[in-house]
Amino acid sequence: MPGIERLDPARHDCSAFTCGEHALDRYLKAHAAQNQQEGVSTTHVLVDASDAVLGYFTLSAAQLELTQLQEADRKRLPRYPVPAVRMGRLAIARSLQKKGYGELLVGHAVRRCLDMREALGVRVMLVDALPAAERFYLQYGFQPTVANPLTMYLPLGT
Amino acid sequence: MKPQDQGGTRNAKDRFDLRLDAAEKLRIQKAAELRGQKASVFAREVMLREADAVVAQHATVALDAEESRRFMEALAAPFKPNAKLAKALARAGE
Repeated sequence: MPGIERLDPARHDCSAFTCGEHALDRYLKAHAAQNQQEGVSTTHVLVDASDAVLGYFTLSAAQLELTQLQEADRKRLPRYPVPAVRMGRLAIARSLQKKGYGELLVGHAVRRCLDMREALGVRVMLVDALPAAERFYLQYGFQPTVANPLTMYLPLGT
Repeated sequence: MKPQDQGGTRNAKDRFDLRLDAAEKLRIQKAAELRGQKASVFAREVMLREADAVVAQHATVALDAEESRRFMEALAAPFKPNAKLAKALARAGE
């Protein structure tokens, strides 16, 4: 049963990964490790028993701007703009698609965000959805922003 | 998704010209050699990575007034995943 771990470039094998989106394959192979090392974003991989990567998602720090808030509302927030976590990418290997692994990855990603809410006060999760994935995120309660329906958000509550 | 990754190098036709002095060019060529890459490939990858980093660090999303109000209401209440997300979270464990 595949599990999810933080990307360890020395151990995890990304070489055979293909999800059908060239940009997502390329990011994992060419940029994920470096971005993680530089503190830009972390990559969390779905791996099998032989450490082959079968899926991944990335998380990074972000901000959410609220507009025209009442002063009273603003005071209820610890900071302004609102600290956020952004899931910039989520991909699953072709061989594993439509088997429920998307749910597993989303569950893990939201769980990580809830951990960060506890640890450092993050209040919202943002997602950059590919057009084909918009419905997928809607099912889990992510809401599209008016400005860009492919930028979606999930409030993490109190 | 990230537009800079789209299409890879196979159908890359656009050019990116920049001026640099001879010593700078040598430094880049030397680094590229150490990685076993052409200087142009090396430069492209480094620039894309840095561009990603800058964009990520300035990643700000804005909500309009109505959304902001709804968002504030959601924030004031405890986190309440819908049924599907609750199932996904349960699968992900603690």
